[in-house]
Amino acid sequence: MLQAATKRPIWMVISTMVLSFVLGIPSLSAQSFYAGKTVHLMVGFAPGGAADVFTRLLGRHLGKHIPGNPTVIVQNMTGAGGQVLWNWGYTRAKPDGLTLIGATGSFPIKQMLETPGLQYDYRKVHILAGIRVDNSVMASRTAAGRSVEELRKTDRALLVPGESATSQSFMLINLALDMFGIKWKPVVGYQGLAEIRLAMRRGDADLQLEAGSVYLIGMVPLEREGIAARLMQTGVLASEGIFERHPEFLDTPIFEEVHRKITGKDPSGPKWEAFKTLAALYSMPGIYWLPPGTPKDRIEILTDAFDKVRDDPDYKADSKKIYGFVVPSMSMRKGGVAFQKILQETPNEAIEAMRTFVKLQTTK
Amino acid sequence: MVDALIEGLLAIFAWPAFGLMLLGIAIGFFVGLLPGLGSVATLALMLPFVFAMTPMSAFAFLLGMYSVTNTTGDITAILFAVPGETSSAALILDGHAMAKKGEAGRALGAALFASFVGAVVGALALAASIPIIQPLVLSFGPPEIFALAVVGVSLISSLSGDRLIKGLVAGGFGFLLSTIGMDSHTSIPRFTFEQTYLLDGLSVVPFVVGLFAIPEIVDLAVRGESIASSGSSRIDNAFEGVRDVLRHWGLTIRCSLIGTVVGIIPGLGGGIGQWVAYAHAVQSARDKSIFGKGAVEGVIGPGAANNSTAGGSLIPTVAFGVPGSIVMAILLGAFLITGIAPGPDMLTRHLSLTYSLVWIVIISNLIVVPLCFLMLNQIARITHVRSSLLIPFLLFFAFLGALASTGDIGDLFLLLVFGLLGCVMVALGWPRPPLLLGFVLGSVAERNLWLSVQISGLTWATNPVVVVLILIALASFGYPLVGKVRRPSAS
Repeated sequence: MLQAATKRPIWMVISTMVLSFVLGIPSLSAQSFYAGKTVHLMVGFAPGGAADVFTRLLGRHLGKHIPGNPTVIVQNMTGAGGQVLWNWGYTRAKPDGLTLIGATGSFPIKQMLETPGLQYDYRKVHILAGIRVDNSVMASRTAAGRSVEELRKTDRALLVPGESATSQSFMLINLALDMFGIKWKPVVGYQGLAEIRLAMRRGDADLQLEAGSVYLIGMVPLEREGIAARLMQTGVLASEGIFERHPEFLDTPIFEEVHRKITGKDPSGPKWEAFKTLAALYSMPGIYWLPPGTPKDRIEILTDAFDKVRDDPDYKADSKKIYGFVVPSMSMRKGGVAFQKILQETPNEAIEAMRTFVKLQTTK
Repeated sequence: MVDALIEGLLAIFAWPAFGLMLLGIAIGFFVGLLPGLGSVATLALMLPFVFAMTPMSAFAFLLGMYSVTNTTGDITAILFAVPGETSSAALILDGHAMAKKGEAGRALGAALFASFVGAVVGALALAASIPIIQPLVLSFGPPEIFALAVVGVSLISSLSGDRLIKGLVAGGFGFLLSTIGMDSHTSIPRFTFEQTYLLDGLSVVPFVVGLFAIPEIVDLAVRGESIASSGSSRIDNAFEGVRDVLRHWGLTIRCSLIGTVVGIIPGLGGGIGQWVAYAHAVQSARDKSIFGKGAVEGVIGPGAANNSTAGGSLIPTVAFGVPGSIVMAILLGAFLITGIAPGPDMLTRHLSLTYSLVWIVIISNLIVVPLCFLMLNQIARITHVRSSLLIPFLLFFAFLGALASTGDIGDLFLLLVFGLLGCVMVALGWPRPPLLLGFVLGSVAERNLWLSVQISGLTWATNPVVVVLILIALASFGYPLVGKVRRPSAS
């Protein structure tokens, strides 16, 4: 970047330095670095999906908040549930602050579950600020029961749908049912949430758990038609590391509240630890990270840009159009600390519980 | 309902939707014409522009583009055996054989006119069936879809010609190939040899292009002359293809309806409709020996079906948010971006918007097909170009098309492997369609079988729909065999 600066006429460099000093802009080199460049925002999933749509929304507004106004393009690198992109981002992407890797909660979870073929370490990447905050909401088929109390009374094993035995929503539902002492059996192999909603309409699935932003679009119609009933939400991870009700779901109780009401005590034990970790990761469905070795000043600039996007009225308007509300985001500088903590210091108990759970499912 | 139908039509002609549709059509036309450059890559490229559009404009733009690539994609399948879209693969069998006989113009005319009829008949069928679509879609759960996949497998007997045993072996091998990748039931990778590329299974574009296009390119190189053999002296005209479609009007309409039904059923995938239509064309023809050697019926069937499949697959996408193909998944993204939530509301409150989508498919074909006819006879003359000039371009587009599907270098290896396999199969007289059909249906069958067993053990096998479908499968498998047994005794 220093070379880039010296290529310009000397008077330009000096005047820019003076100007930036006067205006208080932090770093000349990084600022001129982004001018005229292209920033790649990578998505590990196919065009049109939830992760893709959100990344495109972000990409539309990110560029104007990075000094130098680089062009931001969204690029899909699909395969193996994000694994192809994450391997590439860790081992092959240049750590020059021009490539941002998009990820979901399964980025750390795959590593916790010792998925074969991983070439990354989630604890060593730099996670950027401005991450989308979401909750997850659980619903039951009304024919099976409208509340946890009713579900506890059924004698048959409830059908729990999932894309695979290691998918987050599948694990979350089952851990919750186990803690409530409700019998269930797995039905895995569905392709996507919409197929599961269809299965619920047919009566082939008794429970469903979705990210709140998606739930509002996809599950609320089923509630209106009387096919599904909302049970609870995991809540969003607040800065103090506790779960709170999502602003769009203020009437929906969080898991801990339901647990207290039914069993009379706070949830505890390895299953609860695993549930908490999964719920925290699920509350951050849009993580963007930089390959290890990215210069500090560029990390700062990008972090600033992410923070500015969420206050951008244009971003808010777009978000409202797509999701019906402004998707809140959390800065890694402020509330994201709790999230970082969950990532860096995941209790071994939680990881062990997840592994045991998956092993039980896959060896059946 | 008629109100919604008319309202939907009028909405298309409002500015700027109509202008954007024309733009989409123009882009789709060229993308479809370039072999290998698929609609998936193009639609994904256009997605960012959708943010600034109203829902109506966005769909006019994207869907106009998609329906046209579907139509013009048939052209490269016939001319060069390089399908523009994987959904035109079935057209290669007889379409390209016709081109080699010097009848490229006739084949193109038949395919495009059948496409056009398919789009119109399919869209009308859709419009008429909207009131019963919800119960129809809901009656197809995993057991029924598994049974449908079995019906699909039974078509192997029709697709194998007189080489039934080889066809069955190829189909079985296709089934085995479909097991490569991460098994969703157990979350255990199968036959991936620790390659991350293989975790999602083999990708279908390099599979299809390798299996069908590479052997033809090799054949072209070996023969050293133009695609159309020099001996053909008959006058080749695209309008003769139109007359063929009119002569086989029953077949055209039946195949259009087949395509619509296959498209409507969620989870079956769009690529299957063309093969069902092709097999139906074979079964309903009096002389089955002409297929694969340039039978125009083998062009009309899949030509009619692939456009109506596209129309049909709109329904599970808009009404249930279940996309039948990657293209539909991108359209679903466009729905979300423009603030439209797919759901049963699309069949009631927003019915006019759904009808607009159907109209876009019809009208964009109404514009493009006549345009194509103006130049089909010129396009067909490319089959008289020296092979040494054509081969570099064809190879370039074949590789580009394979790579465009995921962008992974593994796609190129896969293309080479399947190209080699295709050449060997052609040389030894093994039918290739059963291999592809087995591969496409294998994962559908396995996934839905496991889902059925997990939901209800084995009781699903006695569902009336399942029983009927299995009987149809047996009949469809047995029918060509019975014919074969009876023919020698009759002669």
